Amino acid sequence: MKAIRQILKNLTGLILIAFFASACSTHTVKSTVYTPVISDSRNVPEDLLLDVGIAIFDPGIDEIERSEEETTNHDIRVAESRYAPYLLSETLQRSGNWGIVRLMPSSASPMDVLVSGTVLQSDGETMSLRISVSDSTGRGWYTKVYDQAISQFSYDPSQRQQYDPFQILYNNIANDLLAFRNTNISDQQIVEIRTISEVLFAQRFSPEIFDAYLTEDRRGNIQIVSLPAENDPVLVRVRDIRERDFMFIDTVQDYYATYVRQMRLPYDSWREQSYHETMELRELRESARRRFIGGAAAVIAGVAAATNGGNYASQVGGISAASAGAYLIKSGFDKRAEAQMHMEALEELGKSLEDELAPQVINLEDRTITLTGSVEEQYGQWREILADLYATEVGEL
Amino acid sequence: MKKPSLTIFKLFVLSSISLSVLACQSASQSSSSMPTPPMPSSSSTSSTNSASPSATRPTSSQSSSSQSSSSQSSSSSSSSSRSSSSPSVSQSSSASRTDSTSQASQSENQSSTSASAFPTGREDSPGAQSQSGQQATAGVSFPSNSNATGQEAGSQTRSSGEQDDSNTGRDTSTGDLSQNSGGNTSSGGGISSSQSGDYSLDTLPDGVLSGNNNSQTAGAMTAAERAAVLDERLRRGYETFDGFILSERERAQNESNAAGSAQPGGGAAGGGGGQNLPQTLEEASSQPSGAIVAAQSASTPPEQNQTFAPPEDIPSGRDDDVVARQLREAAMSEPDTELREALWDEYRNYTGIGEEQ
Repeated sequence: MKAIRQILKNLTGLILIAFFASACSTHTVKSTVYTPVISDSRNVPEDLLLDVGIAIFDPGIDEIERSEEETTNHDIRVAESRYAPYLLSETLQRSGNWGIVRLMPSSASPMDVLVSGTVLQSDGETMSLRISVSDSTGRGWYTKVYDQAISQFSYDPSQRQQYDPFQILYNNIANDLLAFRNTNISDQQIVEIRTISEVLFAQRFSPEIFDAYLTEDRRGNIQIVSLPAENDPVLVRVRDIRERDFMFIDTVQDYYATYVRQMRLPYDSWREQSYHETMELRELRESARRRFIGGAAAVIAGVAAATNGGNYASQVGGISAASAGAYLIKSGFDKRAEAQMHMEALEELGKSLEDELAPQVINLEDRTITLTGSVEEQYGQWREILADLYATEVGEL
Repeated sequence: MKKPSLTIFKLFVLSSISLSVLACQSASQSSSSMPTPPMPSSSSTSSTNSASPSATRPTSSQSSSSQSSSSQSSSSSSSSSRSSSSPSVSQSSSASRTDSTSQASQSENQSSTSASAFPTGREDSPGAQSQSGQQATAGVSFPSNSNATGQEAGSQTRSSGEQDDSNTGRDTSTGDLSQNSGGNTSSGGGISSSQSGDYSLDTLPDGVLSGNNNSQTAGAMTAAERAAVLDERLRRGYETFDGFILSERERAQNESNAAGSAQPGGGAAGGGGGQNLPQTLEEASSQPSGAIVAAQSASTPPEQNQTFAPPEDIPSGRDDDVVARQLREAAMSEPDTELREALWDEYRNYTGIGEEQ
C-alpha cells in the first residue's frame, strides 16, 4: 500500500509540476501613467540654448531578432526611422529647453547636440529605441535603450488625439537629455559647444581660414585653439550663410511634417491592429509553449508510472496522465497553428501598410535629395566666392 | 613667218601675265576691283575656308568699301549689315581695327574663321597702335583664344574710351558689354572659367556679365574693388537662394497643411513652422498641452498645463484644418468651464458638427 501511495504521490507531483510549468508565463507590466516632458524652469538666456539636430534613425534591420523576423516589415521600419525622430524633435521643441531642434537631412550641417537612434522594436505594442547623444565637440553624452510597452488605452481616440501612443518614450528621452545637460554641461561648456559648431560650419565653407581655429585631442574631441574676431568679415559672411542653411533645414522639416501627417493615419491604424495581433500571437505562442512543456512532462510521468507501476491503479493512472499529456501537446500544435494565422495576418497588415508608405518614403527621399543637391550646388559656388574673397583679402594684406 | 608669230604670241602671253600680275597686285590693295573667287586666296594665303563669310573680313577691315563685296555675296552682306551699327562704337578709335574686332564679336559662328581672321587682326593692330599707340597687349592676345577675340575686342574699344576718360572706366565698360552682349555671353564662359566659374545658379546673364567685367578690369581693380564685386555676387546669391527657399517652404507648408492637420503629440508644434529663431521659446510660452513646467528638484503640480478631454460629441479631429485645430487646442487647454464650452461651441460651429446634429 505504501508503494502505491508513493507512486501516486510522485505521479501527482509530476503532473502538478507539468501543469505549473504550462501555466507559467511572463507578464508584461504596462504602465498607463503619463510621464510628461519637463520644461526647465530656469530662465536660460537664448545664447545658452543648445541647438539639437536629430539624425534619421537607423531602421535597425540588421539587429532584428530571429524570432521577430517574420513579423517585422523592413519597409515599415524604414518609414518608422523617419517618423520616430520627427516626433522626438517635436517633443524636444515643445519642451522649450533647447534652441532650434531639427531633423537633419544629412550630417553636413553641424549642430550643437546630435541625437541619433536605432529602432530596435516596434510592433504596436512595444517600442524600443537605442538613443545616442553627442555634442559638436565629439564628446559622447550617453547611449541608452528606451522601451515602452503600451496598453490598449493608448489607442483610445481620446488619448490618441492628444499624444502619440508612445509619447512617453519620447518624453523620457527629452527628460534624460535635459537632466544630462543640467548635470554635466556647464554654461562655459555650452558656449564652447556653440562656438565649435559655428567654426565647424565655417570650416565647411572656408577651410583655409577656419581650420586653424580647432584641433583634435587624443580622444578625438575637438578643442578650440583660437577664435576669429567677432567682426571677422569672413565669419560674418559665414554667419549669413548659416542662417540660410537653417532655412534650408527648416524647409526639409516641412517635408518631414507632410510625410508624418500622411503617414500617421495608416500607421496608427496598422499599429493598433498590429497591437492586437501581436498580443494574440504572443499569447498563443506562450500557450502553445506551455502546452508542449506540460504535455511532454505529463507524457513522461504517465509513461514512467505506467511502466514502473506495480499494480493496476498506478498503470491506469500513468496511462491517463500520458493521454492527458498527449492531448496537451496536440492542443499546443493547435495553438501554434492559430498563432501562425495571426502571424500571417500581421504580415498581411504590414504588406498593406508598406504599399501605402513606400511611395511616401520614396517621395520624401526624392524631394530631400533634390533640395539638398540644389542647396549644395549653391554652397559650392559660395565656397568659391569665399575662397576668392580670402585670396583677395590676403593679397591686400 | 613662224618666228614673228611665235614672238608675238610670246609677247602676248608675257603681257597678259604681267597684266594679270598687276591686276593681282591691285586686287590686294582694293577688293572692289577684284572678282569674288580669287580674292581670298590672293589676300590671305593661309585661308582654308575661303568660301566662307570670313572671306569678307579682310575686305571690310581694309577699307570702307566692303559694300561692294556685300553686293556679291549674300552672306557677307548680312555680316556687313550687322556691322553697320558698329561704327558708332568704333568711331572714337581707329576705324579699321574696330571694324575687324566688332565683326569678331558679332558672330560667334565665325570663330571657325579665326585662323584667317586673327592674322588680319594682327596685321591691323599695328595700324591701331600707330593710331592709339596703346593697344599692343590687345593685339597680342588675339591668337590665344578665338572666343576671347570678341572679348578683347570689346575691351579694346572700351579701353580706348577709358583712356579718353579714365574716371568712367567700369561704367563705360558695362555699356560696351551690353551692346555686344551676344558675343560676350559666350566668350564670358571662357573668361570666367579661368577664374572661379559662374557663381550664380539662376542669374546666368548677370553673372556672366559681371564675370566679364571682372576679368577685364582685374588688372585695374584694387583688392577692395574686387572684394566688393565678390561681395555683390555673394549678396545676389543670397537673394536667389532666399527666394528659392522661401517659395519651396511655402509650397511644402501648403502641402503639409493639405496632408492633414491633426499633429501627433498635441500637434501644436508643427514642423518647421517658423524661421530659424528658436521656436521653442515661443512654444514654451504658449504652454503646449504635453509640457509641464517643473522645477529642477521637485515636480510642480501638473495642473498648470492640464488638458481637458473634449466632450463626447467631438470627433477625433484627424481631419481638422488649421483653424479647427487651434480652436480644439484652445478649448482643450482652457481651465475655465464656461469659456471652454464656448470654445467647443465655436469649434462645433466651425466644423459643422452642430449643423449635422
